[in-house]
Amino acid sequence: MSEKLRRFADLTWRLFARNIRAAHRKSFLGLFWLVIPSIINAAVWVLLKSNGVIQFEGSDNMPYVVFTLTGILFWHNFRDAMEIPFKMMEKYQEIIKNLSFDHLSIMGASVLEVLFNSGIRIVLLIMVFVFYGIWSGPQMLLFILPAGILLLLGFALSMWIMPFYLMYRDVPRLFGFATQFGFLFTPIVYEVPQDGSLKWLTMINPVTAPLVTVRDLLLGGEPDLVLQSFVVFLVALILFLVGVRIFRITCLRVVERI
Amino acid sequence: MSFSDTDTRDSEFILRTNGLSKKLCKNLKLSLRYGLSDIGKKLLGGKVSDELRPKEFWALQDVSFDLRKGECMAILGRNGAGKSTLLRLIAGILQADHGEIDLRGTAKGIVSLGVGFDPFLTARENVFVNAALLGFTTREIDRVYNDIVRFAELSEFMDTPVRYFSSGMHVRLGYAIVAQLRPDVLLVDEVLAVGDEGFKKKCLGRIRQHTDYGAVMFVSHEMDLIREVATSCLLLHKGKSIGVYDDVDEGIRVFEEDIMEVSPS
Repeated sequence: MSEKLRRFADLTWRLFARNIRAAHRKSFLGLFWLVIPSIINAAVWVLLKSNGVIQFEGSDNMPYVVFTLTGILFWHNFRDAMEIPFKMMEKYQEIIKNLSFDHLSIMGASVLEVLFNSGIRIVLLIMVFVFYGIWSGPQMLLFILPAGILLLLGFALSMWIMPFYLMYRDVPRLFGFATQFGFLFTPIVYEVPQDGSLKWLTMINPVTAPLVTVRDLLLGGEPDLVLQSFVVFLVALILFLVGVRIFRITCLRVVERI
Repeated sequence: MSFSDTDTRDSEFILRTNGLSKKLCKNLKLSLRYGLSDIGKKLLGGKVSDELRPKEFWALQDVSFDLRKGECMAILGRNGAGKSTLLRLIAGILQADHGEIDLRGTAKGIVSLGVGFDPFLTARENVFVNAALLGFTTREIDRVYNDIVRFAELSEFMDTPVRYFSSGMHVRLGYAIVAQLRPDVLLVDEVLAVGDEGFKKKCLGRIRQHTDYGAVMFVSHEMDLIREVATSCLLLHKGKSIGVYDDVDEGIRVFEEDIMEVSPS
């Protein structure tokens, strides 16, 4: 490994470890906070569904609670991929202003943290699957591909929004709204609509295809948004690579002005 | 006045700056807008103009000097003269709007102590993070860790969250990490003002020692300290260089008589 890469890897790991330690040291529930919001969120939708607010035509061996929890957990992974780079940059502003180091390490540490959080959520999911005895064969494990596309899409969007997010307070506020609406306009707690205006909205939503594919693969459904997921992957990859370039150029220029 | 004459001096400089300039903006909203427009130009491959826009001023304008090995240069100037901006440009923390920095090696140091310390992590954990930010690999930190603890004289508090540290202890820990750096140019921003006498002595010793290895640039407002360690001084006034003095006493005299007098507070 080259000297430069070694330093980058060392620093990235340090920053990641520092964040995880600092975040969980002051709390009793620690890592549970990574899944508690998802669980409560799922519980609310299960309650709504049992009162007939949500229509769900799942089969008998596929309880709604598993369906919705799977969707919510992967949505939260996606949201993390967008949000954690923002939070990390806010946290490291002062350090960027006072020390000279490879700023890409901050993004590297964000990626590690998102992977870590996703891992914890997947552990929860495995426990739920074991509890309900859900296993439809080894092809289930392919879920990791669309799950990765979700994260890539999240990081890509994050990099593009970053300069505005850091400079103008309006952007974090708008972002908060957008993620709330995004949650409702993505087939997370409901199945892909067959018609109506909601169908149209969910189909232009880039999160839909990879998220639904994750769930199809995990819950043994027929994955019919594979092609769309692949398109999302290509677009996200290009956005991400350009985003890294934007980050490299703008990081210092943005931080020195805020 | 003895301006540094680059032709007659030996060419063995470690650091040479040429017409270094940095713009800052007095207004936050405008600053943000300028920032976005600069970024846009930069991304599209355009040129950012050198002209001052409304509310902008030169925090540093046309500063040129040479720094050679073994030199310990003090930067003198009133508050807002551009001293810290200069150190940040050399450290690569800020990007210059104009001019060049020819650095043959590395320039590192402290422009502010204790930045990067997480209050809830222990001193030990913070040492590892901070040292990594300063460019140490994990193996290098392992090697110098004991020296850091010894220098800071904090061996019994290494497992305490730095949240419970006094400001003096903060400074000691921060400086102890930097003291392990071996850059070609060591940068030290007025941080020696804090800390007790004994520790200050130790830091001065460390700075002096570094001139055997490379060069030092430091900012201070304490004339006695400057007389003690500096081998030259650079005078800054409102972002402009008044000159580089190889005779430190002469430089201090000019600073006290011309700069402090002409612009009374």
